Amino acid sequence: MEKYPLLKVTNLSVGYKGGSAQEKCVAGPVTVEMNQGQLICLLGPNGAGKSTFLRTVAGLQHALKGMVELDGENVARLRPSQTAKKLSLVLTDSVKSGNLDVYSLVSLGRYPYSGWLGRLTAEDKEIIQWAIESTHIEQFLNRKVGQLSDGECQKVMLARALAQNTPLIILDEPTAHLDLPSRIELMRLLHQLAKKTNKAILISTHELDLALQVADKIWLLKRDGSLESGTPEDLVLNGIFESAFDKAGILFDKTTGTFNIHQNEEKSIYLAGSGAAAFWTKRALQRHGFSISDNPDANLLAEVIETEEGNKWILKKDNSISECISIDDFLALLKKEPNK
Amino acid sequence: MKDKIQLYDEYVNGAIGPVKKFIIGFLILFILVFFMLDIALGSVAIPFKEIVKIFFSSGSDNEAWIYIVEKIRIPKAITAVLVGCGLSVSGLQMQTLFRNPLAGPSVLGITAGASLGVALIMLSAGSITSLYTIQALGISGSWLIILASSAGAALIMMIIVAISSALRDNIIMLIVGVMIANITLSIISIWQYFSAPEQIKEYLLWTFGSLGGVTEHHLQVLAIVIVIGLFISFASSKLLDALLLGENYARSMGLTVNRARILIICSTSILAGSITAFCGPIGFIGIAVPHLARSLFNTSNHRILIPGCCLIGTALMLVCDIVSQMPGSQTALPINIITALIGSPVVIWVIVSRNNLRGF
Repeated sequence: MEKYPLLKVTNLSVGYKGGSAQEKCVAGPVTVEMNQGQLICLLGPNGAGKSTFLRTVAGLQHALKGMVELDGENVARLRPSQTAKKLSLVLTDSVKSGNLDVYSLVSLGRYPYSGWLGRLTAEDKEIIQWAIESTHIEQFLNRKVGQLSDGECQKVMLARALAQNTPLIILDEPTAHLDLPSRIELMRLLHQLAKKTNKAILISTHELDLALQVADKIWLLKRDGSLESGTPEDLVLNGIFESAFDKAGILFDKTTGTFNIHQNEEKSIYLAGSGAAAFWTKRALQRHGFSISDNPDANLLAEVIETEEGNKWILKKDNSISECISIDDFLALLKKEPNK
Repeated sequence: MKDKIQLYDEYVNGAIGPVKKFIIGFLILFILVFFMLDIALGSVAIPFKEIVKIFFSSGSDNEAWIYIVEKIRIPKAITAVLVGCGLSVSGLQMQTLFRNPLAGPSVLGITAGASLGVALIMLSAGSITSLYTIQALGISGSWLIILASSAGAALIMMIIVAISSALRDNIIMLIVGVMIANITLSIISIWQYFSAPEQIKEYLLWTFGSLGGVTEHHLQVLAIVIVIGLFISFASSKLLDALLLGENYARSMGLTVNRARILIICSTSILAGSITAFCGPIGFIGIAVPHLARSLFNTSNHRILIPGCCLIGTALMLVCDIVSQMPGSQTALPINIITALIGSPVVIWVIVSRNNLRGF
């Protein structure tokens, strides 16, 4: 049995119709698909057209070319009231307005289902309650939207999108302006929601490492407007990930999945030891222009030993052995070394 | 936790708690008392007993008193109610539509547009004359004025909507609104420049605003139009709720934004336009009352805010009217002066109170 994709984007070009006959194409043509229960992260450098792409998929903006199909129907032909039952949005627009309290905002999610005066039924209330509980925002229901922190505000907007109860949720840079714990919390929440509710969740983000961890698939929008789709691990291994963010001075480390900002290593050092202390020693060494060598016969030999009293660093050079008790001392020792 | 959610749910779903019931009851009582006071007080002292007698049985020994109460004071008090409802609801709609706490019919030049509409009708009629002459035309004349002033108001409103969708900045939009109001007013000034001195005087008196210029049959027309306008507003309260989050979110929730905009522009122009045609440009009620309603009822739900604005607007207009009569004296101050005196502090409070401006 072949499953029809929830979202199908065919040859889509996005951009702006500037003035008369001028068209400014930002990205495309793009052909991708998305299924129920998937969490997909849309990544790409600044200015690659992520927001424009998402806005076009959501039907807020006309496509220059191509087609977006949602549940087998062309989004461009749907009335807003029909689209609203298929996809909900969390945008970067400010919502801090008009004396709005959190519960009212979440209940606005039931807008497509309520009558002409907006009265909520018992079923509406149950869904609102479920949305509030799923996003853990019970403790600030009575607050005004203007009094929320950015992280709280995003969770509230997500609750509103959940209350809209659509098979697809699109979030445009939900982690922008959030501190690290809030970012991780939000990403984990989205991941769990996709798994638990079988909703498709599409987010654009700059959180590369978080995206690599939670996404079922990554859509990588490149500067030339083309889009690569794939499992995060595949994109890392075949080098596509690296090439999309290629900029002088930045190196993507395939072995750790992180971006490395230090690449001008001049001296090499062998580091023995394991655990957290060894990891952070390695980071400190890289920052100071050392490359970590695999060769135990290197000129410089270092060892990290974890003891009961604390960590100990041992540096061997040309048979002279020194010992110190902090990375700071260790680095000072390394710097002195050439003068000896 | 479930109970707590239930509680908020009731609060949002339009159920009115004991505190709000008390506020509403108090406002209604306040309006009834001040409505009677508005009829009872004036430059001619009439005993309160006689007022009650005339009001309920239309009989009195003094013919002049019957005339004053029935033909002047009651129409004026009803006009105050209509103006209070209409202006404050049109202000509320504009603040929501533009997502701007300082929007209001007088601030953004909607009343200026209405004046322009009225002025244009007079020019095309060939006789450069005052509004009172047209009002003397009777019912057909009053419909003509309402049509012209609402069209003028709608024109300015559409220009501002077009500019506001290009500019997303509240302050810039406000400046543009003020400039458009200036352009409109200067067009009217050109018309004034070529008019006779006595007509200018009448025009100036009109700009002070007056609730007393609405005679009985004009009042019927005004009442019908205001009730229609208020009904359209109330019917679009769901659309207004969605627009609180901005146009993109409103569309994503299934709102056909352009249709909603047109509906809101229509009802706002009808309300502000017709009132301006008959009573002159009355300022500050439209901008101040929505803020009072929001803080008094502590909600953003338009199903509560629209009736709330009507109640507060009515109460405030009745107070303004009573004050403007300066009871016990022979003179009466223009209503515009009184609304500005009471409304400006509210506007200042809006700007100064951090929560209101940032929280809008």
